[in-house]
Amino acid sequence: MSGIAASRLAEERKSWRKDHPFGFIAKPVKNTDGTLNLFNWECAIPGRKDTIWEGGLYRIRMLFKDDFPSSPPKCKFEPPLFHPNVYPSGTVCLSLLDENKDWKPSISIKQLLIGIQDLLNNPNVDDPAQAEAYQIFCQNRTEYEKRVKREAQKYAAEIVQKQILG
Amino acid sequence: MDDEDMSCTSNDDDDYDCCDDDYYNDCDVDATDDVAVTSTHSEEAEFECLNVAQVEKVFVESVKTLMLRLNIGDKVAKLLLVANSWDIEYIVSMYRMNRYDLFRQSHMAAKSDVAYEKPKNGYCSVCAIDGYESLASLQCGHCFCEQCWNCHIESRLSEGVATRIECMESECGVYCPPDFVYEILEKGPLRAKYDRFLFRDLVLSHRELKFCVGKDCQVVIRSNEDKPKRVTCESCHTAFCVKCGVDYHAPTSCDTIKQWLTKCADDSETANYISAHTKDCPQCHSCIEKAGGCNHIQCTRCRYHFCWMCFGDWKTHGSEYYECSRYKENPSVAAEANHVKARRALEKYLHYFERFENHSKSLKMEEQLRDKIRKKIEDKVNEHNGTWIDWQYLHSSVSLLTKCRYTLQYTYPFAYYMQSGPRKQLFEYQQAQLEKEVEELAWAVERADATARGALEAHMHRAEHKRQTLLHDFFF
Repeated sequence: MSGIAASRLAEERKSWRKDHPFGFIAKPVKNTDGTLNLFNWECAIPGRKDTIWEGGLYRIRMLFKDDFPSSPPKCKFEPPLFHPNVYPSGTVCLSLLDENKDWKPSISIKQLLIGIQDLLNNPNVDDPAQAEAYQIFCQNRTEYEKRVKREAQKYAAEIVQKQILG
Repeated sequence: MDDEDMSCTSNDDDDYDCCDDDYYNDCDVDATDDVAVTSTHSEEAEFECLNVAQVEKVFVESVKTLMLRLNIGDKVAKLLLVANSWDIEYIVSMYRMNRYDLFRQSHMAAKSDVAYEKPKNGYCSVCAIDGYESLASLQCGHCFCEQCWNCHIESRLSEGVATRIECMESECGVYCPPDFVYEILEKGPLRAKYDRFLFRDLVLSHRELKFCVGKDCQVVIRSNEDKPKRVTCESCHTAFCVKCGVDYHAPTSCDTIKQWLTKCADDSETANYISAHTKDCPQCHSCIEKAGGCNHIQCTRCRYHFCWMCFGDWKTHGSEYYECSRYKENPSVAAEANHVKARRALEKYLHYFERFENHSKSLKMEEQLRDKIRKKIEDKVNEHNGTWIDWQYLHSSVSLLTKCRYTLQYTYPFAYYMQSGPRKQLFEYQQAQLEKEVEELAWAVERADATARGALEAHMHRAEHKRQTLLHDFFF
């Protein structure tokens, strides 16, 4: 499958450069010799407008395995994000990213990033991944919103953009 | 002298005896049933044992019936059956109501009616390569190249999925039918693997079919029993519950026994033990069990000195008296309450578990008793003290004892999960009655020599009667 993985990822990159949703960033990292490592992407997801996440740009890494697209990439917020469905390690818990649930080989990187953006403002209380955000979300919604807005400020789009694009 | 002669004879006749034993065994089932209180209910499920060819025949018959009733092809009929637990009546009624809904529910047609635009230039969106001469698709029409299909199917097969391999398009729930998989998979080990999984899935999807749980047993059990009754495989003689496949567990239900066995198997009780018998060091929170000695504890890890009773720093304790012996409002009342609660839960569990285990051990010991009685019967027959048929009641008594004790054993998980109330009181009353009868029967059986046949049979009758009453009120 490695053959498919590499060519598919190259194609993903091509189509992303041609057209991608506004505010998102997705690019494969560079190896030390300057070539691209297509199996490791640095991405960033903007908080959707008119939500408490607005204004922030959240960095996320996508790690692909050799059997992609049979298996989904591992998506990890770097640094870990305050959100009920993000593990303390930063890994995202989402059915779309689960091989035995909603993952399908034809899902594109663009669809995945939009899916995760959607998760930000629509946490799934049935699958909590971290205790802190989950408890605050369930017990004290005002405090939760305050904490999220603080995250949005901490990862303000202009600053993060500069960090990534150099 | 006589005894010696006898034992010689029986040794000489070892082979003959073995055959006899089997014969006796076969018989004692019937003999016990004679004793059983006449009841309209049976604990045995009605079933038949099938081999692979017979199972295939069952499938073919259902497929044929459905084909004729709905006038559809055999492949469509089979897919509908697999997706709907082989319930022909349900399929027919759904088909007549709205066949497209049925196809969608059965993962045979795309969810939405929106026409799917076929990719141009033979483009496969999974490998992102264009120029393929031919693309393959399921009923939904989502096209992908054969190589990608192959990888997808291989990857799902490695997860053990066979009948439920979905289309590769996102949010499309159509399953790959066997024909399609056969077309994609070349002959080889994968194909054999798929065949194996497919047969497994077909059996699992069928309401009336179950694999025998016996080790390496290939038999499939067919039964339309809806109560958790017992089946005994004709090939490997394993007996199990027809619904859930674990050891037969009347009067306990399948869900309860599953909960109970998990509880017994996992470490949840270890955790309870820990919380009941240990405390955490107030400074470094390592777990400490006090095995003896005074209340002055020094944590071996952080070297902190504290009092076992009040968790206070030991230095604050006066050297002459324990300050914590005096009642104060502030000590960790909440922590104490948790200890008490955990301890109580543990006690309750242990109460039921010990009795459950005890009966299980007794059952094993009574295996030896059975052998002893068998030997005794042989001796008597060899002494020309009656024929073997005259002594069959001894056999029946042990079999009945086993049967009653087995049921008694499984009353404990039932009681553990029961809500307190009049029903539980009734249950525990009957359980106690059965317990008493079983003990008396065990006592009588062990001293069968000294007990008159009439007395023994009276014990048997009473024990079986109590067992039947309990099953009747709480199981059937």
